[in-house]
Amino acid sequence: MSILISAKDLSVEFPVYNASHRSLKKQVISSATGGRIAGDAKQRVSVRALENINLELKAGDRIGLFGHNGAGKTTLLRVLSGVYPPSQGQLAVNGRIAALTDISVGIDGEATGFENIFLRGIVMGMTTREIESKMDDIAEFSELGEYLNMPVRTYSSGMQLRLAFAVSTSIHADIVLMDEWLSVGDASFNKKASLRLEQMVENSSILVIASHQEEVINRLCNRRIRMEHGRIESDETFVPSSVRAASEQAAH
Amino acid sequence: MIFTSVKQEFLATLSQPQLWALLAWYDIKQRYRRSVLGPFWLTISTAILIGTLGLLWSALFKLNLHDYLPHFAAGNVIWGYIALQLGEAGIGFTQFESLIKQRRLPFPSYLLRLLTRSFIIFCHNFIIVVIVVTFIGDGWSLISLVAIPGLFLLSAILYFISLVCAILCTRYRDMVPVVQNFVMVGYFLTPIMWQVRTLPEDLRWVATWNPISHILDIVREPLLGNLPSLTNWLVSLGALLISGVVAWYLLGRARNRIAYWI
Repeated sequence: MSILISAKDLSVEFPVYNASHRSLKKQVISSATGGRIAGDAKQRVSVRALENINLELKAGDRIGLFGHNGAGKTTLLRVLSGVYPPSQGQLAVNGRIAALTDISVGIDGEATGFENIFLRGIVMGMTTREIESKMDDIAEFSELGEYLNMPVRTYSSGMQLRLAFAVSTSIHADIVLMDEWLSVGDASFNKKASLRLEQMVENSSILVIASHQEEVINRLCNRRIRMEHGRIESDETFVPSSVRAASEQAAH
Repeated sequence: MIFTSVKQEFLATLSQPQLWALLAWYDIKQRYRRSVLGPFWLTISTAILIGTLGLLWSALFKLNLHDYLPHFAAGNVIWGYIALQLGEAGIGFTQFESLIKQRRLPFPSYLLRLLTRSFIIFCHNFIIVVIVVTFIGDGWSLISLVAIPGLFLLSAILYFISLVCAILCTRYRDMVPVVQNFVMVGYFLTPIMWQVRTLPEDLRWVATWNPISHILDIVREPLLGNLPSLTNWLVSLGALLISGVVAWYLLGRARNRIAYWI
């Protein structure tokens, strides 16, 4: 199977320009949460968010990232999406990426729902033509009807989220990056949204999801990676609970 | 997306006009959404400024209005374009922080979005130049068309300079007021409010050695019915080359760091 993402000795360091150099340069702090804080040769303070990550992801991989707050999960997602280029090491990514890390980025309160479909769609990496072709699907799924002609600031927060979700999940992507499983709207809509999200994941080659909910990872993923202090502590494959349940049912 | 070279960043920018043209249009629409006159308010206030100051200066210094006002109006409107773009460039990347941290779009596209925005505002203000040249100045001729390639050249230089500013201002936040002050001083040192020929001989070097003055002239002179001088063109082409090379080099150094600096 083709390798779509490959990371070799990848490290990410955040320079901290406004921290007091003096108080931090003498010590290297290592605590239960957060990455490593270190002063480099030029006495600049930096936070090492990821350290020597080696990772190969193939088509079909469903990765669940878990670990403490500040263990580097979100940073790893951002590195994979290309936002943070690695400070050291190499990264190769093949395929179209959909990052569902913050689905409201690009949404503008003064613009109408229809305009926001374009705004959000462009941010997701779609062309105007692609957005136009998906317009009906997005409008229908969001169930916003006439409201799509109104400025988004008149929406309730749940409605805004619905719109952002409908656009963000309309894209076809090879690689889906997610920070926690998205849940939107009321109970009935949330069910529908979950189905759509699962459909999107199914159509993709790779899913990388950071989550604190064990149940989510057990159900969706087939590979689980535990992170701590910006390093990969363990990396194991397993049979997702949804598949196990299905095969048990078949055996009965 | 992962871009492997500066060239790729520029190509990706040009091949995705929705990233700058459409988003810039939405920006303008959003800014003036609930206003009836919208961006024309800027035109009106620029017109008031030009009208008041134009009358005041020409009365104070006993200048010929027919000659002075078109010069002042055209200079002011073009300078407005430059000043707006450079002012925005200081926060050229920081104003898109959430977007930059969410998705890797080609960095040149953010500045092109700003340039498109500034250009749209410039087009609104250009109405003032049209009115002044038609009713007070010498009117229009074929020479006026030379302003089009001039404007294109000026925009290209402005684009590269604003890219340089954006990179420097993102890394060194103290650069933002430095740029603002340069823009302010530039307004006074460039022949906009004053004309070169009204200066005493021994002071004319201020305009001759000021590259902005030459870049301004490749747009303004044709609007006033004169062809820009060869020096004007050469200085402008030189400025394009230098700003382009510096922008290309800096982007190459900075493009993997910008997300960390924000």
